Amino acid sequence: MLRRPGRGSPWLAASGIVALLVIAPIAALALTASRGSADLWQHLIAYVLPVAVRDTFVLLLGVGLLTAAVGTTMAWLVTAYDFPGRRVIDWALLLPLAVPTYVVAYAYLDILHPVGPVQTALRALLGIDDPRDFRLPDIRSMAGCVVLLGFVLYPYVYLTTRAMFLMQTANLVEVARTLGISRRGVFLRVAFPLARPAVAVGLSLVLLETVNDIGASEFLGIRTLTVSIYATWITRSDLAGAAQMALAMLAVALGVVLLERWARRQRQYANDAQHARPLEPQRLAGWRAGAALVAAITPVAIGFAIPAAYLVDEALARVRFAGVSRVILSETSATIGLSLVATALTVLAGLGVAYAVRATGRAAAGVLARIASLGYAIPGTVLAIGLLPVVTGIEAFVDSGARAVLGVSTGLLLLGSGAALIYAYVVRFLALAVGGVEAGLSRVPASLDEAARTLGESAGGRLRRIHLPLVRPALATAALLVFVDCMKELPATLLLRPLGLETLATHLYGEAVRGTYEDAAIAALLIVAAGLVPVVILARVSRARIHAGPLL
Amino acid sequence: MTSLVSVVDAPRGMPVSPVAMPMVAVDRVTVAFGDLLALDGVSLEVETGEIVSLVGPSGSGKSTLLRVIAGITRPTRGRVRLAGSEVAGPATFVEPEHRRVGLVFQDYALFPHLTIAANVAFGLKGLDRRVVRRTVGELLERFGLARYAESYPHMLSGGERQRVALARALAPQPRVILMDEPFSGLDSRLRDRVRQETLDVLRETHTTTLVVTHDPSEAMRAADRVALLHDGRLIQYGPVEEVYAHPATAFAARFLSEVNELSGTCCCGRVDTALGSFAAPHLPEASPVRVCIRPHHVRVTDRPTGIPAMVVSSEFLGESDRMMLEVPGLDRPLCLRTFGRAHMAPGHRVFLDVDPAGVVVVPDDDRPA
Repeated sequence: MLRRPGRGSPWLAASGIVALLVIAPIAALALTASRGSADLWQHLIAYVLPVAVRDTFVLLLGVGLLTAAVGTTMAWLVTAYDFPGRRVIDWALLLPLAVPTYVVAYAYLDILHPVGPVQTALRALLGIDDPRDFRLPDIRSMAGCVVLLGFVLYPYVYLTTRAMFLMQTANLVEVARTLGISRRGVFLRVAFPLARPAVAVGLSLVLLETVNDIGASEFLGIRTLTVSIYATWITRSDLAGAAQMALAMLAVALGVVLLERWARRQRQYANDAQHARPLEPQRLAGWRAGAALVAAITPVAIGFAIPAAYLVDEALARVRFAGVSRVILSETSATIGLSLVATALTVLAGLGVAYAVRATGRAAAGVLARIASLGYAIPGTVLAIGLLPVVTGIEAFVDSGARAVLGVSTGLLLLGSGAALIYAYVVRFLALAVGGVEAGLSRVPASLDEAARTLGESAGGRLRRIHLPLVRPALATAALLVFVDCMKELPATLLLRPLGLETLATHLYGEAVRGTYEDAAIAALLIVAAGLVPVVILARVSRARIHAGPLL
Repeated sequence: MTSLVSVVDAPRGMPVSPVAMPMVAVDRVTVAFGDLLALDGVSLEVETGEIVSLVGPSGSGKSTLLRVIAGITRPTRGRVRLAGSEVAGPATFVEPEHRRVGLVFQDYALFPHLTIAANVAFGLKGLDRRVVRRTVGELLERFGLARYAESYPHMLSGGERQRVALARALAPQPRVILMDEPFSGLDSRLRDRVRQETLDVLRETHTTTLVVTHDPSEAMRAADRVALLHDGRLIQYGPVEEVYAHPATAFAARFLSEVNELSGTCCCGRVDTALGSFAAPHLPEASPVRVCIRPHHVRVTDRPTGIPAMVVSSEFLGESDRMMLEVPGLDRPLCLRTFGRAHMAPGHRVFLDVDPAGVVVVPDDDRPA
């Protein structure tokens, strides 16, 4: 096919630059890892990696099983049955999404502490005085970590699976029942097999979050890959070793993504049910209704209500005792400031990348958009380790240039200013912006572009006059999701923040690691409050518009 | 820029030179999507002010041809010239935004976030605001849309949206208007009226127009010339009456109206069938041919003159009856239409008289020589 050279190339070029910036840390990671000394690698292989890999896999397996069980059961419960409170439970089950894993671990460490409220109350109930005489199993264990992560991450599975259950035509379920299968049987033999691709999508998000988690595993004493990477770099200053482990971790994340792709291949059969009539939920009454309600409330309580109530209580006590400290205020503004800048850049880059696909209509633009979205699968720690050489490289280049031309040293320009951290945020969350804009653009018919073109409008003009006004809601949603994710981000922030700068998340981390319980509850509460905003949006749209894309 | 209405209403000087340059010239255009040839060497010219229908079954390439002229689809081979200047060729490609063509879509493609006035004004760029306002006002007036100027597309009916789409396409004074199934979104009663109004405006403004349609009766009603496409090829291109009266192939005859097809062989410029002998002047000797007889060109009488036949079934269609008749020597029943005759029950014996003027003899597509 004939093409005039340079058609749509400004958009393609911009998209290429963004993709390059996303790829750079991964390439740098490989490069750094290859430079590590062999004897160090021997040490890692012998002592660190086996434990880290084993713990990571056990954790992934446990969290995966738990979230799949809780998520699909809850999704079936609220779509196939009707009971008092179902309308509220339906969206309340999403609430744990607002609680980052490190916050839930922080909260439960205190709640379940031997002298914490739960065990104290239990002892009072049983009439035992000495904490040494009665103890619940320690939360600081693999089992504790699996349970905690499972109960804050199950909403990913719940959300995607419920959407699939709502999309499934009632005809299938009714046919199955006329063939003599009970409601429970329908779940196992029809609904669940059909929803498997959706479960896979939700599960992959759960596993990526688990791989990404640093706070919870570290507080609870699990030496996962993330924790080991962090320790190797921070305590040993061994970047090559950290990079080698980061590569291993990247392989795990990649495995998760591939597994999800593989599971999604079978999606066609789920899409057959186009003119779906939603399943009429069965009304439960009496003790059954009560049991359903209790079953549905439990995950919300463990994953959200209890830790949130604890944080509110602790935060109030702290404020009453010491007021709102200056530290928290400055950290809040630092967090918001960094997140705002990162959000603006992310949305801008996402818009450019997604629109390049639309404006040029070239396959290359689509490939670049997928590359630009890779960051979502790169755990924060891996990203940070990969970014360090990139950033220091740029800094050295700028510094030598400035010294040659101006005679001054620019020093740690990027790391010191937080630019490196913002770079990391953009890479990590660009998928949200690209996906959001793509979803928005996909709802603008191609004929609008063509009409505008024949009316003499250029690609830039079409973006300004047609697409921007039409995708503004999608853009706003994407921006909000990116913003909140930036506010919550911990692993990359820990490694890339400028010296002396604390965000709410790093503050919480610092106190949890030190075992001090001062302003951390306030910081945690602020993070959860910010996290609630996208959950509310999700709850509002998820029934209306069933969509299991990257907008999650 | 002069005001649109003055341009539109002034009798535009038709080119008087003996070799009038066609407004649209498509020259051996091929479009390949992978292995699939959407267009296969199509050539066609449209004169200034002419209305041409592109008609064919779905997948025949008619929409692709329209999109090639608009510049949305690039031809794999071949050239397109607009008003004499090449817009697509081996070395040139003019993007649609610089072609000055107006496109009207089946779904109208009105910008949902803009008012009707803003939609119509969309293509009027770099003009004085007062000129834009006046031009838009005049166009809306012309299309009877003035009271909707500040409304949004979703508030209008289908017919009104269609008019907005046309007004928007006409506003920047395009060299040619391209319409892709512009009336198929309307219900049948409304369709006839909107089509007539649209054609009135296009003829009045002397606008060169290509209309894509899959409906042969619409194609013939709307256009000066008809281009019949099939499997990416141009089967026939000519004035409406001529294409109808002298279809080039059995496909063309079949597509433009219901026909009875009889196979035969050309012999001494004639072909003999069970329904009589018909002239086949331009066909090679001994070549397989098809004799196409349109149902309303067969008269049926009770008088024993002509070919005897027996009624197999009869269907009441309102204005006419559609009858199937068994004719000795034909392997399939013959279809015919009668107007204002008494209903005839199956088994009734009649006699047929075929009007030779309504018979078309074409080469046999299925049995090439």
